Amino acid sequence: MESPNHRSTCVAILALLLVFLFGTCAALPCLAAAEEPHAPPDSVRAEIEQLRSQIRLLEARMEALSQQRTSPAAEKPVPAETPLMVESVPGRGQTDTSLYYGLSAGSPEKRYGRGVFGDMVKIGGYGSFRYEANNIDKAPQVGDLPRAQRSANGFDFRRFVLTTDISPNDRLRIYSEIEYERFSKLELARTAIPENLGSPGRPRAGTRFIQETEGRGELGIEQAWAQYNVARDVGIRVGVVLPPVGRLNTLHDDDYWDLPRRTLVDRGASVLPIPAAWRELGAGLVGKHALGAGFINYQFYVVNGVTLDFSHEVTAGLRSGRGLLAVEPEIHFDNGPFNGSQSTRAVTWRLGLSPKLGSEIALSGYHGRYTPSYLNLNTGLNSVALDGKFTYRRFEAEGEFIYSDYGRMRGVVGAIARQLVTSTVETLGSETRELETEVELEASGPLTNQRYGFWLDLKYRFWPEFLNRTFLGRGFENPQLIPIFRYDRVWFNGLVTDFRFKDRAITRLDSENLSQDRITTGLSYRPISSVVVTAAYEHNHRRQGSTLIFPRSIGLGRLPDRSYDSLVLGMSFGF
Amino acid sequence: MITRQFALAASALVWLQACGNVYAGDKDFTPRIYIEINEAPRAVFPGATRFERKDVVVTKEMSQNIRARVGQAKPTIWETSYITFIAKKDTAVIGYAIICEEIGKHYPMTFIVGVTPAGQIEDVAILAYREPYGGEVRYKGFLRQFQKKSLKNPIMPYKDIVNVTGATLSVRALTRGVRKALAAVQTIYLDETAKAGGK
Repeated sequence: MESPNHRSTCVAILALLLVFLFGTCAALPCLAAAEEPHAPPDSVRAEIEQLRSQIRLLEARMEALSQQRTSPAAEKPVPAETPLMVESVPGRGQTDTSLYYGLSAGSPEKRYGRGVFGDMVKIGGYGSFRYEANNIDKAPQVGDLPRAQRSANGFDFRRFVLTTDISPNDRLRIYSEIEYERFSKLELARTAIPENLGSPGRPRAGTRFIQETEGRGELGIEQAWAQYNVARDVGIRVGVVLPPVGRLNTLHDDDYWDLPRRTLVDRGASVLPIPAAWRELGAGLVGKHALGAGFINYQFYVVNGVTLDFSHEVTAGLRSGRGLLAVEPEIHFDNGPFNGSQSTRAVTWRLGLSPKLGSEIALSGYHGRYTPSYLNLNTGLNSVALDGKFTYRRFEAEGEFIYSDYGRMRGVVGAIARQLVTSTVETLGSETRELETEVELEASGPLTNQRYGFWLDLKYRFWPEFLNRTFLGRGFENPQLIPIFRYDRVWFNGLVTDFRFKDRAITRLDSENLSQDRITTGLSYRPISSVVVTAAYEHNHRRQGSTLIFPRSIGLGRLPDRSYDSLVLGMSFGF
Repeated sequence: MITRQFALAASALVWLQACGNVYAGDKDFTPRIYIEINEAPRAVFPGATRFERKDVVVTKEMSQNIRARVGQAKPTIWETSYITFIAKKDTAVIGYAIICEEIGKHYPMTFIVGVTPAGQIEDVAILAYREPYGGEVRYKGFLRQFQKKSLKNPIMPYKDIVNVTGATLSVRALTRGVRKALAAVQTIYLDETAKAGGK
């Protein structure tokens, strides 16, 4: 078994080799571009160009006048055809003689473009909604209680994301994404009131501080980074970035995809520790270079890294006549903290090759420790992914395979339980130290030894010409209909389902292997490239284990159903 | 661990500095302008021996003809004049080049389209690209798709032009613009040539 130090050394060597490779790739085009012949000073060139432009303009006007004089129609006193342009050619006035701002854009004060705050800041975004109806039954009857609903047939506000894209300079860029996911409101009220509540009947001294928080959904920063280009197409990126593992995490914009639900591998039964979109705080190198008929692209980051986080509930009581201290931790993976409280301990990377237009193959990965520093255990996550896209005329195939190794979960869970009991007993006081301690684990992690899976999309784009005469095509430049087929399959090995810990030793650890697949067929309609309306049918099937991996109902856990079907209607947009 | 992290960071800085220094030696570096106007026609007609520049002011009749020929494409910029070049090899006209612009996501993209006397595209080249991303449209592998196309072809993404992921809006803008360029050359030059040939 490898020691943690050996693994760290391997990671560092791999990181150094990748930096060497990327640096070489970045330097080669620059070396080629450096061989430029000496050019005359810019100011003289600009002046010469301005004079030439003015001469040509005069020549054009003289020719137009000459043609008018020689034309028989010109002898008659009829109104001349007025050209659309009157004075000077836009974009080539006194102060704007180069291509910098664009020929048709006019003087620097008049710009084409859709920036809101001048040219520097662009605001955009994307969003999606869906409606789902499925045949998941209610939970079994328990006594005379109403049967619990395990799934709802209804609308789902998936997300709305606002993006800002700022280019203060040609070599600088600042980008951000703020996501509202299933978000309806966030209310925070805080006040301080006297204990006596202002009533003579409540003779209490002191002040009570009250804070009420109510919220539904998630509001978060999905990306927020700044990039400094050291060379053409090569930049240093710093901030909240997306680990480029697999395909969907970086290409997660809803208007890109032709189905109204993300893949099992990246979201529903995520093979990665955080479902898409997974973000981390760090810094790295990004670049892209032409290579023959295609190009290569790469990303390499060092990040704080995903961590295992937990909250726990402690109860002390009697069970079967014996004193018992029960600790129930809810353990889950979370992206690394943004407050500087964790050391940088992970690297993530991607290398893609596009040999021809519309096709790409890429290798990517993530390596780093995830156990918190206060646990006496160094366990890391190692993920590797292979993804690609192939285009042949109107046919497209796109897919991804990800494998993640989380280490031995038995050791991790045991270390967490030991730490919890020790800290909890010390916290609660001397009386509780005499109690038996029992830890029951609520692992919303999920906690697995390995997870792996793949998905494959097959689609075909077409548009019957007769639809141009209908409301579906009228007024749209290039509408499309896209039938699509997707196959998802995931495996969870060693999923921890139950855990007991007593007197600093594991008394019970239940785990099992689960596997699920999903077949999706759908038809999407794109009136424009950034808006898609989709109807899809899904069939989810349990391939191994006692429950499905997805969905997981709050409070009810995973479903023991063998399979279920869904009809999903969705709309996504980007702007 | 600290030593390894330091070594990693130092290696990255050394290579980045190498990239930056080599790049700083390029005095003509302007990240968005790839070809100057006067060099542009040679990018699409490298075999020509001389070029004759002709700035054409668009009349109302010309504008109507161009709009009719563009068809379903919806250009975002309708130029009021065009910079054009007549490409000649010795005394024979081998083609016409026209500079056009279209808006990608936020900024205009400037490009030149070379058209043969038969009304087919000889080549396309990007003069200036102003968006922060999506610049794959300037690579030869993408532009090669336009060669031999004419107004009889759709020249649309996902029809006869392969899209580039991450540059969808730039691809769409360029296809519109190329179609507009073809329509303009047909109107300004090829219709006149056809009329002269018919007399």
